[in-house]
Amino acid sequence: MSTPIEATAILQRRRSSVEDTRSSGLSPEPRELSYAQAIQEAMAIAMERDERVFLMGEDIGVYGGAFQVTGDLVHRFGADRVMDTPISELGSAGVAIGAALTGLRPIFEFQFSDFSALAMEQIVNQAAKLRFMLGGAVSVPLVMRFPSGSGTGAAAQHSQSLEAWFAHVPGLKVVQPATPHDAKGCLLAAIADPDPVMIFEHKLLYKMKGEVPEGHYTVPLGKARLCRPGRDVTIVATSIMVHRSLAAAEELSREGIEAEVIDLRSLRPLDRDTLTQSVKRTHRLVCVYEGVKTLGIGAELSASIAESDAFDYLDAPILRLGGAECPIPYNPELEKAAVPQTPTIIAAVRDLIGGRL
Amino acid sequence: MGLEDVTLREKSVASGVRQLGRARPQNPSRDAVSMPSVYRRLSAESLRQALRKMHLIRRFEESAEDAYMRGLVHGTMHLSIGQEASAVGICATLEPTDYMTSTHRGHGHSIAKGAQVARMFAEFFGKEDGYCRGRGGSMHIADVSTGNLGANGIVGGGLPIAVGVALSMKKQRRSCVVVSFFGDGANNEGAFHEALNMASIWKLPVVFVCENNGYGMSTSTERSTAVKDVAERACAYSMPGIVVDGNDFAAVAQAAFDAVERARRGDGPSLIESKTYRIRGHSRSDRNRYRTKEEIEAWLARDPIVAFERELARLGFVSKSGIEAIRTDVECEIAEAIAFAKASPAPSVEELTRYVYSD
Amino acid sequence: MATEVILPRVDMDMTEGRISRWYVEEGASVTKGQPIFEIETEKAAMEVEAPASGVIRDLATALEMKLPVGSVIAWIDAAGESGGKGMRSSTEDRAETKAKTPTTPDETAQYSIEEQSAPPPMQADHPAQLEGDGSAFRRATPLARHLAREHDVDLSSLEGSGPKGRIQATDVERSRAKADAAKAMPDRAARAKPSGAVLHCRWLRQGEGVPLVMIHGFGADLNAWRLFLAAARLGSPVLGIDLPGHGGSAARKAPSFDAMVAQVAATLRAECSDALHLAGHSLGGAVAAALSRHEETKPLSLFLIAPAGLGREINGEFISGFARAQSAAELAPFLPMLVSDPSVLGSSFIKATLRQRNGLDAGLENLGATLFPGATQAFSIRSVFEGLPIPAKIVLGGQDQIIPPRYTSGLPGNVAIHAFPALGHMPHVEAPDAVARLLRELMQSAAPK
Ligand SMILES: Cc1ncc(C[n+]2csc(CCOP(=O)(O)OP(=O)(O)O)c2C)c(N)n1
Ligand SMILES: [Mg+2]
Repeated sequence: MSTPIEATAILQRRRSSVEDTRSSGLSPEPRELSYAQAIQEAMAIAMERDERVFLMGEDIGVYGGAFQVTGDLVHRFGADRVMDTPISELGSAGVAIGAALTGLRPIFEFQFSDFSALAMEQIVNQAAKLRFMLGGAVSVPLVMRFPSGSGTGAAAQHSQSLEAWFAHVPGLKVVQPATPHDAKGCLLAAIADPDPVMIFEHKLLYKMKGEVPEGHYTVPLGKARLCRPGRDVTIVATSIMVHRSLAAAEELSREGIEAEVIDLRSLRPLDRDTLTQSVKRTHRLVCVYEGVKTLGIGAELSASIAESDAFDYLDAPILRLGGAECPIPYNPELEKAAVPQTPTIIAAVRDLIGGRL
Repeated sequence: MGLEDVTLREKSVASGVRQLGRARPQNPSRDAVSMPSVYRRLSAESLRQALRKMHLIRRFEESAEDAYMRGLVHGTMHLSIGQEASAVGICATLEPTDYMTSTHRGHGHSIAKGAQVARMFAEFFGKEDGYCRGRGGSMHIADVSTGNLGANGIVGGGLPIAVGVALSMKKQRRSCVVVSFFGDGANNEGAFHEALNMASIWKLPVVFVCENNGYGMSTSTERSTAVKDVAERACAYSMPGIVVDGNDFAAVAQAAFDAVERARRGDGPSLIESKTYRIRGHSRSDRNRYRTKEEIEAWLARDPIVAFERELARLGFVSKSGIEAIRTDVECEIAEAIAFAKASPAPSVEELTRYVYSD
Repeated sequence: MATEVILPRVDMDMTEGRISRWYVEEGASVTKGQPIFEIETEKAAMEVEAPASGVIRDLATALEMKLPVGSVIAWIDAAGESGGKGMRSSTEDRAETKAKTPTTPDETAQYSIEEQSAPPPMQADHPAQLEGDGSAFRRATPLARHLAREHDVDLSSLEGSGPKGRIQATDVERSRAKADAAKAMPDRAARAKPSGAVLHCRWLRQGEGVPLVMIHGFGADLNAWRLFLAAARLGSPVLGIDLPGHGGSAARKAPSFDAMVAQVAATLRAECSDALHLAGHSLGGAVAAALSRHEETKPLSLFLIAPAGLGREINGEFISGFARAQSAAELAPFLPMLVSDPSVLGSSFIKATLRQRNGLDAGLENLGATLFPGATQAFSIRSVFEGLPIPAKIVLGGQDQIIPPRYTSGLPGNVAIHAFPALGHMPHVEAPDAVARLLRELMQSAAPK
């Protein structure tokens, strides 16, 4: 029968992966992984290092996850640590919270971030508040992963960017890594964090490749990243919009406009400092994010600048480029038009610099 | 059917579940028995229409798949190939004024309830003539004119809504019945349990139809569900729970007739579990890692359309040439529908935020 | 109501005259009777008093130019009013409330004679101004307002180049450059001002003769000289320069010492006549010294107060702490290091120090780290003095805690060293009179024949 062969293969794979992790410090050779692989590697490293870490989610076992993020992990770590849940978001989220409350470190995958709406009660009323309500007697070291965003033709109920909802809740931490490097580093930081961390992963990023260091490392939660310096305007972006903003900056640079691009990385805690410093240098701010524009993260960023020391340095109105005021449509052209695209960013910055806004 | 029905209902209350259909899905062989009562309750024309609809669903799904592979369709889709008898068997017992809520795997339900495939294809292609004007796509097809309140991208999302529609019917003293289709996966959502309970306490005219195709995406019911049959859940909410062979048109229709009549009489909801199988993967990205080839082949041998054709032919409702005529007719309709959909205009980007609110 | 200021006839047979100097700046508040400018005729120089109280605008910028008697040379807007009449280059700039703007002949007819005699009104819906309670509001970006505040520029005197007439930073800067150019030496007014990399500078004093250029120290800006200048009674014009990364001179990254020198040289080329005197304090002293040997700058004299660049050590604790301080409280511990008696610095010094550092792009800490890495001075000016062809003085305090005073030993004999044994790093603040006398003496001795 096939079982023994498979078992050997799994054993071998496990051994080699252990070596991978160990040799991390010694081999600085650059190595590319996809965003999904980087997350998978982070989960594997965490599970190797720490028995308390386990995964929960719908179809994350043999199916490998709807976006193949968990992939083969079930073969490496077994179904006890890569647990398929029934389609019971509210309940299973609560189960993860209970486990986290009492010594385990669950990583919970929502199949699509949209389904988190079903689990909102447990996340917002329980996970976020338990520590506070109990006067610090407990903590909830829970990690939740949310495949998010539009661009896949999955329409209104499978394409949302809901991160701002969660970022509005004290007690939760909310991060949006934009690169494979940060996806791994943020996840490992989230696992080490004693509080609930919500990680929003854009579905279109999963296949994106980038350099990912081997072994264990963390990216601090709550620290923005300056991806591109520039003197004329600060573009602060989240998730996939970082890449669109960088592409826009590249194009604008040909016209003599030097945009500074900041990857916010984390919505809560929010790195107001990096943003304020940047705006003081460039005197202009454009916020780019996929979530619906009104009452979204851009509102918070704009307000932060308006309240800060950087206010007196503004030489143009602050601009927000966010999702249109509608659900994500199915038709591909409409879908594209519903969220900022590279040309949208270019046009907006041109208008801003050209003094048309 | 009165007496027989009462006995069955009593039995169902006692055991929680009763079986309809002469074969368990695990045992596809079937002996000739006397003609099931639904063949008397439905006219010969209705039966032929039912067969036609099953063909139309099958060809629609195959053509949608084909269009997807040609790049005409954006996103993903969930095909119901293999589940046609379930959709058509339930809907054959409904009036056009009756309501229905459906699921992500809802193309068959829409067609069974009377939707035009031309407008469905138009929706797939994201066009203005589509049922959702190109805004919804495969997962949200609805046809309000035939009481079809729409597919749903959220597992279990339609169940409470169906209960609300039933409440509305009851309060308005309209005799309409509401059918709520859902998958086996949905039976583990809180919404399912909450919906069944309310339908029962308020005695609402709902027929809950669980199309149990063995898996919620990749997770088998054995691994996800504490009870063997979803119909057992009915017991907890004090309503009849019936298991039927979902690949057997007559069995499905029989259970549906009973449940619909009970609902229309004002006696409250029922839960029908229609055991069936989806031949294709869960969606376009399924790699079938969780099931075996043998299992798929066993179910292929139990093709509901082949079985229904054979039955209708055996009982003299349709001839061989009649079946041929239905097939060519369906082929024509599909070809015309695709042509219509391709020619339909795309929505204007200017109207991106239209329909968010009632103007 | 705006009152015009004219070039008056002050002499019987006078038909024309010229303004030799303004006592007030654009946008200043003046009171009736206050001398506001000086007029020169064939026979005499006369002070002219303000004919009304209010805000003075539209100063005729060309000095020394002959103007016919009776020319309008400025307007004084009564308090609460903004915008003037007359010598505008563009009627666009008139800021009147929209409600007051005549749009039909009928409405115009209701206006007073004065109003009617005004130049043609702006188009009815000039957007540069918002409707409101009647007070004129100028649309301006926060940065433009910030700059305007800092440099005493009156927003209502500007024309906004942004959308809807919004005043942007560039508008303020342009106007400031213009005003500076106009106020400076007459021959400079005509000189084209190169755009681009020049530093922010400002004429701190108008006057006659060869200008004195003053360069401030680390973490200060040109305003640091005001206290000293008030006591100094200099006759010559004084140009203050903001070093890169200080005051109004932005720096994208911390510049090296050589880059600083080069930028100051470029600024002097653009801003100043060829002949000039150079003075500098601390870091600015080092820059001034280096400039004296720069091929493009030909100073007549060199006046250095506690200059940097003479030795290796510097007080690193002070440099980093002073650079980091963001509040008066944080600054307080470092003040006693600067002077023997911190009270002479006063709250205005502290405020100015803190305010000016808001403008730093590169960050004072970075700059400190670049110029003074690890409590050392990364540059040297010792080679400047050997064979220096101009007179030079170094003034220092024997109690200097920032730069050891001993470094002046061993300099060549042509450099005069004036050491005040009881003073610290800022002798010009602690003993302004004595230091000013030394400066005046130096400049006189070096004056062109
Ligand atoms: C609330 C929610 N959770 C998860 C999903 C993702 N999802 C879509 S279909 C599906 C499986 C549903 O299984 P089932 O109800 O049995 O229907 P089937 O696909 O078998 O027709 C899952 C998990 C979803 N759409 N909604
Ligand atoms: Mg299923």
